[in-house]
Amino acid sequence: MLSDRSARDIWESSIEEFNANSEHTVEVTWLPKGVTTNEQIEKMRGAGNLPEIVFETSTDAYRETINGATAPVTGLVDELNTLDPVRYQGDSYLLPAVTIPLMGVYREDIVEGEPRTRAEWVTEARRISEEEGMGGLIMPSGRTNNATTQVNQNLFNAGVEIYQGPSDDIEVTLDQGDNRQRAIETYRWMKEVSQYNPNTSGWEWGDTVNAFVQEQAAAALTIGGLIILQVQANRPELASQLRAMPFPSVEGVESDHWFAYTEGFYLNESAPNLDGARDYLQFFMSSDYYLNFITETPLFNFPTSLEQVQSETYQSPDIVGRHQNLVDIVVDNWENMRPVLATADGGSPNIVAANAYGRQIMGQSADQLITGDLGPEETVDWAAEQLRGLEE
Amino acid sequence: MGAVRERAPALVSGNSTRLLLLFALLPLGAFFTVLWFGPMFYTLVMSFFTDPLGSAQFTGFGNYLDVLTGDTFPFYLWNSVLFAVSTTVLSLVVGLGFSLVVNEQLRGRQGLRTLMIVPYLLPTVVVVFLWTLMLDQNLGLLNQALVEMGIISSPIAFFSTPGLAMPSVITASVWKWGSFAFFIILANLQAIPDAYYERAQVQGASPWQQFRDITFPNLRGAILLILLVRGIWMFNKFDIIWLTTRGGPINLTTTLPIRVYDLAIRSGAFGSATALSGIMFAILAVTGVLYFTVMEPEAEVKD
Repeated sequence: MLSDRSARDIWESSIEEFNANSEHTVEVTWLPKGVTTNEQIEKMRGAGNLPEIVFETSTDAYRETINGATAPVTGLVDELNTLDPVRYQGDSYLLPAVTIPLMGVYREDIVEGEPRTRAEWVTEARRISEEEGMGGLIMPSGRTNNATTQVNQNLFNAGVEIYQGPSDDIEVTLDQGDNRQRAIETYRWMKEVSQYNPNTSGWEWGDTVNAFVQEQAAAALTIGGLIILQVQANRPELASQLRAMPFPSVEGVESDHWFAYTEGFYLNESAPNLDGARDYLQFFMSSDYYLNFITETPLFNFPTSLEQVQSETYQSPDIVGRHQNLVDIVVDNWENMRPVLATADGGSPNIVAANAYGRQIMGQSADQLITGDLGPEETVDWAAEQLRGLEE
Repeated sequence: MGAVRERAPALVSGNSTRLLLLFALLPLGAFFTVLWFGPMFYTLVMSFFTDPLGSAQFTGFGNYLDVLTGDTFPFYLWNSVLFAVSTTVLSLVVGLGFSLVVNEQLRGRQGLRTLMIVPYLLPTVVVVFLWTLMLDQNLGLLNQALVEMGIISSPIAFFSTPGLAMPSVITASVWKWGSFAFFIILANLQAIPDAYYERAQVQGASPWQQFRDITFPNLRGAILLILLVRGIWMFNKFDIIWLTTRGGPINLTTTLPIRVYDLAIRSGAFGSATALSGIMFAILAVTGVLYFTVMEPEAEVKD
């Protein structure tokens, strides 16, 4: 198995127990620092030592799948009732282990009136900026995952269908029909909110956390409970003032896509012992080791089945109890949780979206709008042109 | 010539000196073949194919034409030239200024000379951390100081504001590499005989005239060396730009090396990326030829 995960003692204990009770033997290769999983896989392939199991993102697992390099894990996905992000030609090719949903966080002691819609957030961000002397709602831009995820989710929340078509025939529809107008309104809103914030071009997740720690922002859109965990570690007196929220909504629009990073295990089709690999995954995902691994960073890492999110083990850490509303939001919206990959017809995988994410095109579009001199209409055109350049 | 004529037959005859020479050169030859010519040749070959790591198809100079005729190439080239020229010239000015000060019989000059080596010894990542700590919008010491003194009302995002990003990266780069020029110029300054200045002073030359007629001509070789070496290094510089701005905002600090990385690693366009590398090499090669033709640095050696 090749893995880049933390909490290695938990993994190694699980492997030790599995090896002691199974006819198969698992050995783990930890990804060296500074090496990507893809690079390591190529090295192992060259050495004729391809691992059966690889821990990867859903996006990369899908790339491997359409190249015919992966073996199905359909039985495990069905049995464990997990999310199913890499469904390809009737089979599942990723057993997801971790999901990290996008989430908003705000300072309860600063933000007034529990704003939820875009219009409410503009008003409140202006007030916070003028009266409290800090940023209202951070709106990042640039070639970062932070900005890229947020632009995608803001477009999803406006009901924009960025793509249409089946997995093998993706069409970019961002600038067509109603989508164009909704996308323009989304960018217009982003531009407006950004006026009441620091310059956030190039901000990664850590910069947003820093802004909270330095009390320079009252609200931000981020991943899972990252801000809560980091503020708890650095400014514990502020952490109790933080409250989770969904991304700002658009009146009259019910979004069915809640962006959630999803990572897990795929199997290399040409590796020799796939039965043994499936046995280990079944053992690990059903054991206490799995939830112990997830709860190493509660509120940030979520399990990939609703039952496990609601389990006593996942909800037992103190910090989960103190921020129960974040878990409640995830539970209430569980059916909509899926990665950016799932944007082809019927939520099936979309390689154009995966490539666009890898190249952070949506984050760049925000940079063109907020830092550059493009208007909302021109930004939509710019983004659509970039996306069409990726169509295969 | 006589010495060559006498030596040549001995080498041709295959004596032990020749064998020794061959053995001595073998490791060097192997080193350059494996680690230099091999990768260069491989890169060059890749640049003539589309998707060279996958289903490669020969495209001739197609990748080169695509890169050169692309809308963005002049912009990234301009960023590269701006960064390389600015950092090289400013490093030279800083190095020259400090070396002239340290060359004088002033108190504390030893301490200043020691301090000047520190930025050069620090790893780039540490330098970036220091400058981020100073200029960061959230944590930056400079921002905090300027706000507290009432000079600015809110923190400035030095590395992500369009008009400030490139100057900020240039400033950090000059701080890091200015001492390279400092030490080369200082060594050359100390090699100028005091008698030159003493004679000039006897003849009534002003400090400016001494600098113009004695110091500067004696530093010409060092200055030309710094311009060439540092200019090439900075044109190829990747780390400090990537670590501070990642080429942003809106690509305003994207230089050609950043673009190569972008094409190869983020876009998987290895054909275009290697073609751009080849173009960069050609630009530097032409610049080098022009440098040796126009500046004639070898004239210093002859003199």
